[in-house]
Amino acid sequence: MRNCGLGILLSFIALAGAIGDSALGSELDLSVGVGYEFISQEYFLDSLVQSGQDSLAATTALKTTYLDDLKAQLHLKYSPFEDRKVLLGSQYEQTSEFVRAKLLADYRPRFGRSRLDITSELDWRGRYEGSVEPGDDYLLGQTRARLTVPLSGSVSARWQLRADFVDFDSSSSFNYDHYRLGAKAGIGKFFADFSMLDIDLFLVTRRVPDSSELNYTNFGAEGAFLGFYANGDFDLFGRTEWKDYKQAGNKGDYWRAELEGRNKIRLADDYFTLQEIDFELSLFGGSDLISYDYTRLGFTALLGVEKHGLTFGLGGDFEHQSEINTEIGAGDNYFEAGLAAELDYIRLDQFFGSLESVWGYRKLENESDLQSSFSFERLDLIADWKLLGVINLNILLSAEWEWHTNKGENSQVFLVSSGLSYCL
Amino acid sequence: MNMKNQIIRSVVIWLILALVAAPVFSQSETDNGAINNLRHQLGQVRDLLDRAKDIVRSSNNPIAERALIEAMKLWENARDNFDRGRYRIAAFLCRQAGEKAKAALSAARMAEQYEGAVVRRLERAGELLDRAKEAIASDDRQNLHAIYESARHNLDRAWEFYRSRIYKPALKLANQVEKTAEKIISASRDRIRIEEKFQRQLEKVNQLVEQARMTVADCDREAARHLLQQAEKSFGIAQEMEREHKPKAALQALKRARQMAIEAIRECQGMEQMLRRHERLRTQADRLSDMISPGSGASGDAARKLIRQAYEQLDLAREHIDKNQVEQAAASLKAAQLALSRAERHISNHQ
Repeated sequence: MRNCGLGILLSFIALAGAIGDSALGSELDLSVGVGYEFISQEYFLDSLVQSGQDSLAATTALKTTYLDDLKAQLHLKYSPFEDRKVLLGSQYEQTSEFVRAKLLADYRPRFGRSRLDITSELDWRGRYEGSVEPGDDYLLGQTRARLTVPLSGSVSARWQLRADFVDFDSSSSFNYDHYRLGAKAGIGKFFADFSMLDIDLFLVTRRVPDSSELNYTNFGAEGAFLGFYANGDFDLFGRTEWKDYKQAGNKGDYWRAELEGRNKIRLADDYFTLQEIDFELSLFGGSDLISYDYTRLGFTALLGVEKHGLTFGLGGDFEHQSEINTEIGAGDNYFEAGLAAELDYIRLDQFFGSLESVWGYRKLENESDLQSSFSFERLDLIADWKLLGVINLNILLSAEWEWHTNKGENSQVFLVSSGLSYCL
Repeated sequence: MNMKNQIIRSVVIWLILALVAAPVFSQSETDNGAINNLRHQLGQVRDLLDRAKDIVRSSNNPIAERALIEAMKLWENARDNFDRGRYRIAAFLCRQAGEKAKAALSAARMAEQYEGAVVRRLERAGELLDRAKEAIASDDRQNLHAIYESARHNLDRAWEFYRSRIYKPALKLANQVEKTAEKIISASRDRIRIEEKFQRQLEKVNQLVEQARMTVADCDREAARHLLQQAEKSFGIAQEMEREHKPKAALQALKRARQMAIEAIRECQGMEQMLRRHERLRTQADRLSDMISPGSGASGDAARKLIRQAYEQLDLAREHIDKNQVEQAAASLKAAQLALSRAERHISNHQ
């Protein structure tokens, strides 16, 4: 495996060297930078429960920092032709314990009115410091080829093949080598008012050489519609799928359906209303103690204003989950309601930012001494900023706080992923 | 007497013994059933604990693990009390062990921190991210590509956490990836919406330039011809910029084309000319209205309807003229003219 990583690293260097004198019309993007990643969880354990009534301590906070890494990174992208139909790339990243190298290749030729789109990726990670544990070193590869053929002025057909694999240096029950093969076929239609409809059928199969229990076949259909009307637009996405693990008693099998909808109505003076709906139904084939059929329905309604690339929306966010036939009695049924605020700012090729906050309350139908209803605050920030045309700063941040009726269950989670790079 | 007393005493004692023994014997039969039932319940809870062990272990959830340990202790106590014949205490502890085992399972599921659910979420996040990549394949905005790369990186991280059996951050990262992918898809669709809006504007300006062409052809003025050339050139640039995915430049060129076309029309048709044309059309409408004879049938009705439409457009044109809105006034006059032409054809057919 380490040889694979070395191979990728050498390819990286070779790629960089080969394009040293780039041909006319070619394009080279090279960036160097640093990044920081932080993931931490804090939760509270009631020591009266843990240690008995005689314990003097009341509540103990347990903090786990899963990731606190500073990394150096080098990215390279090379397009040999002006039309960018071929794109080669490589990424190198190093933290205090790990090295990661990635090779990317995209090929997008046209044959008359037909388009072929091939993307491939080879990713290697290895530990160079500390003791190596299962799952630390691996090689991952994936490739996807999609052919789109116009059938008429507005209708096109497409076929897609996809393959991926993971190869670990040492495997365990959670680090298992596997490969997946998938195919997709569908049609797309453009309407005169720019509305568009996509319908696809798909089939994916996973094989795990060391465990037949983890093999599965997944198949289904999905459809998307993007529509326009006089004062607004709407999106609809629907998907239905079956997953079959081919085990006795249909263990792990499920049928799932989901529907996502979004409707935006433009009112006068830059004001708008936005409604979002998210529905999910899962029915499990086998019977075990934790997989129960459920439905989940989410709804968001916002009133907002957008001007000069800035969008602000404020409204309500609701979600209800209902489980069916729970053998253990205490189903995960809940209803939550919250106040949602969204702030987006897009400045063409300079800044993209999105800040979302939901502050609300989740009422559990079945409370116990281990789980009680709670108030929460969820915060998400996505931002990418290009400074002076050569410096790029991006950040993904998520934070979540839960304040339970039973204070011993309070918890908080922080995730930060950021990068600062300089384009040479 | 003594003998008699002794006999009476013996009878009384036997009676008491019989009275006491009867319920004792019947209770013993009931207890045997209850004891068997309790033994069965202990077995059931044991099964539940055995089945829960793997699930709770794979959930890697400390709260669930703690609850399961407590459940197992309670069960051991229940079993111990059962063996010592303390059935009521055993029954109570067995019930508590069962409740605790259920609570442990529930805690393991509560945050969906079990292997199958985590895999489902990670795979779903991957699918969404693939859709995001498809959405930005032909999008030049580097911001979206950079955010996509970060999200892809975080999904890789999420899989690594999953493989290390650290589910909470894996799920949170998957959530974040989903949100990011949705934002990318939404931003990409916003671009489609902008393009759609641009196409509508392009069509409107195209009609205006066409109208300017017709007007300039009639008026034969050098300044108007020059303005029309500028409008046509800007319109061409707008189309070219749009093809090159430069929406801002395309929109600016389109605005300029619109302005030049309006000025070309103005050059030929000042407001005075507009008013004169308005008067001419109104006279024509009056004349055609008089030409429709009673009993002219369906053609007459159609002509009346068209003339009514023409009057409405002429009133609208007058309002635009008063407000100095050349473009709208010209469009209304054109609509009135069209309605009158069609009305004239109906009248001619009837006659």
